Amino acid sequence: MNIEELAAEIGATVVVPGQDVASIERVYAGDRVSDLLNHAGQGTLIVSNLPGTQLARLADLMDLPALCLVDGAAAEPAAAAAGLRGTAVLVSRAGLFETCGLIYRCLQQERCT
Amino acid sequence: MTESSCRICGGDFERAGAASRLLKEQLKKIGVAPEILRRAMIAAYEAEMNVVIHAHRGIMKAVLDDKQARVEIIDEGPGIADTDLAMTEGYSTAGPQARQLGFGAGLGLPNIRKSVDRFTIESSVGKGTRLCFTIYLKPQTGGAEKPNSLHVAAGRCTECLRCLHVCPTRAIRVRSAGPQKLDYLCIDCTSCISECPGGALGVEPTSPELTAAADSVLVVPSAVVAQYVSAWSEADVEGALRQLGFSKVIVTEGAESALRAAVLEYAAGQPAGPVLSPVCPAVLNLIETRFPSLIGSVAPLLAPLEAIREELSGRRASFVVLCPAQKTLLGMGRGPEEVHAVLPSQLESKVRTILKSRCGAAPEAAAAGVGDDPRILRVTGMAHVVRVLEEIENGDVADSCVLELYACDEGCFGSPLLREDPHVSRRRYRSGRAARPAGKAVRRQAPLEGRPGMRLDSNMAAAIEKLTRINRLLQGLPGQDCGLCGSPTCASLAEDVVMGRASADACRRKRGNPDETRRGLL
Repeated sequence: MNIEELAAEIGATVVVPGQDVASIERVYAGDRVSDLLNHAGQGTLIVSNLPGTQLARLADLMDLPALCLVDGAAAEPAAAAAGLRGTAVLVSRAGLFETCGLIYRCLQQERCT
Repeated sequence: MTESSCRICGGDFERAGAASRLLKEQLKKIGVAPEILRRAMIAAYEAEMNVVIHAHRGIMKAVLDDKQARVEIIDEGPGIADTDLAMTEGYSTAGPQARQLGFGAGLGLPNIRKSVDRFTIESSVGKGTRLCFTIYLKPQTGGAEKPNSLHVAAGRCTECLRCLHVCPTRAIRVRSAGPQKLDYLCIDCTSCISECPGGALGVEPTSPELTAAADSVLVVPSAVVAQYVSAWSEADVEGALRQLGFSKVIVTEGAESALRAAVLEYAAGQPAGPVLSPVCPAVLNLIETRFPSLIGSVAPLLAPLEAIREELSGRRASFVVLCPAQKTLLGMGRGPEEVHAVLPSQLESKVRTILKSRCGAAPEAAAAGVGDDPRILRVTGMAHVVRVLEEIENGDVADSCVLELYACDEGCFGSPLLREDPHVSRRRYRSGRAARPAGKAVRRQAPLEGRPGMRLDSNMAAAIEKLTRINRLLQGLPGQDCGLCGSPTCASLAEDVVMGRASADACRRKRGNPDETRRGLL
């Protein structure tokens, strides 16, 4: 599923379009930098309620393809800058738990069709 | 073997990550495989954050050789009382500030150990901690170079050195045999051609003679039509072009307008940030070479000349080109029998002869210039384009707007292959006056991709060795970037020496150089 389709399905906004995010194969959510570092990789969408600056740094160091801020977080300039370095940035209005549920349902539906 | 180091300031969460970033840049320069880079970044960032969270200050030192990266992080701080306990997942002594920012999960040291090939930690309570890790390196594969069409006539070089300093990718050198271009860096723009007084740099046509077959099409940029409209109407000019013997003449304006409309439509569907129009192929080459992080911001459409070439697929066509990038674009993926590159100078005398025979019909009244759509930010001239791209890359241009970036001043009107002043000819050109068929915007199928750029060697061991020698040589150079040696900067000369393109004593400003002492420059 591509990033725009996924964003539309879960009601998220694509704040910055990414580079070469052909499809999202895997999603990892967390609020601990160590966990996110471990699971950041090609085709992985990182969902987190951490501050945008921390996520921007993570995106920069790990070449994240896409990240999703939650709770309707304002897309801080740092997050936008991360996006311009190639990472797609989404903002979901729902909280971390609910966003994960929406993404899970969406990916399950895709698997069934 | 090459060494680097970066200081880390305890408690400074704002600047945290800088040491890891430096290590990442070094590893990228020597061409480390992405999966190795990822592991190195996990370990380096975790280690750096440990210093930021727990210590007063620290330093990250990295030693790279052809087999491995050895990284040492030494800090002055409270130290670790029980290192075995500290290695247990979930154990952490981080404070509330760090935890609020997502650190302090007790996974840092275990993460480092899992990501590296060798790991040691020593700590003294009240003094500090020394952590070392080693990662075995593997080279990256791929990253193809692309062709270019800048023509060098070395015999015409006057050694004025102007070209050296205007090249946006530092691809030009001037040696005793004349100018040389580094193919892997040249982006086919016209910066050096514009500055060259002797005509040593330019574009060559496919054929020295203009041959117009009855079944072939002539494609002409609007800027070429604009060269004649001071004395004749556009309809006259297009009529004269048809009389050259082509079955059809296409002016690129239709395709340019179609591209502009398609980019605006694409941008309307994008949530935020600027969208770059792919209107100028030299700027696209610049983005691929120097700003690959912005490739995602380019609208996925073909440049006007490419779109017309697609439309004419299978037909014989001659394209009037205004820069090396346009010529390269036409040659890519096609045989020379289908598409010919023609220079404006090849048309000039013939077109003027035809026009003069028509007794000079009066030009229409001047109207507003082309492309003044308020939704589009038009940036022309390489220096301005580079500055704007740097600002976008730094996140300083967050506006949702469409940018049309042109390498030449005033867009294609400023091509050095044209005679008229670009400001005057653009003003004279009356957009939409002549009835022309609408063009078509074509979606790009093959995505743009970054170029290998400054990678020193496909062999990583050799790249490391070269990087070390470059850094050593650079320390002995004056850092004035004068260009007298034939390289644009001192760093370029150091690289040229190491790459075998220049001699170590080429620097004339180096202290003790007898040649320079004689010239009184020291």
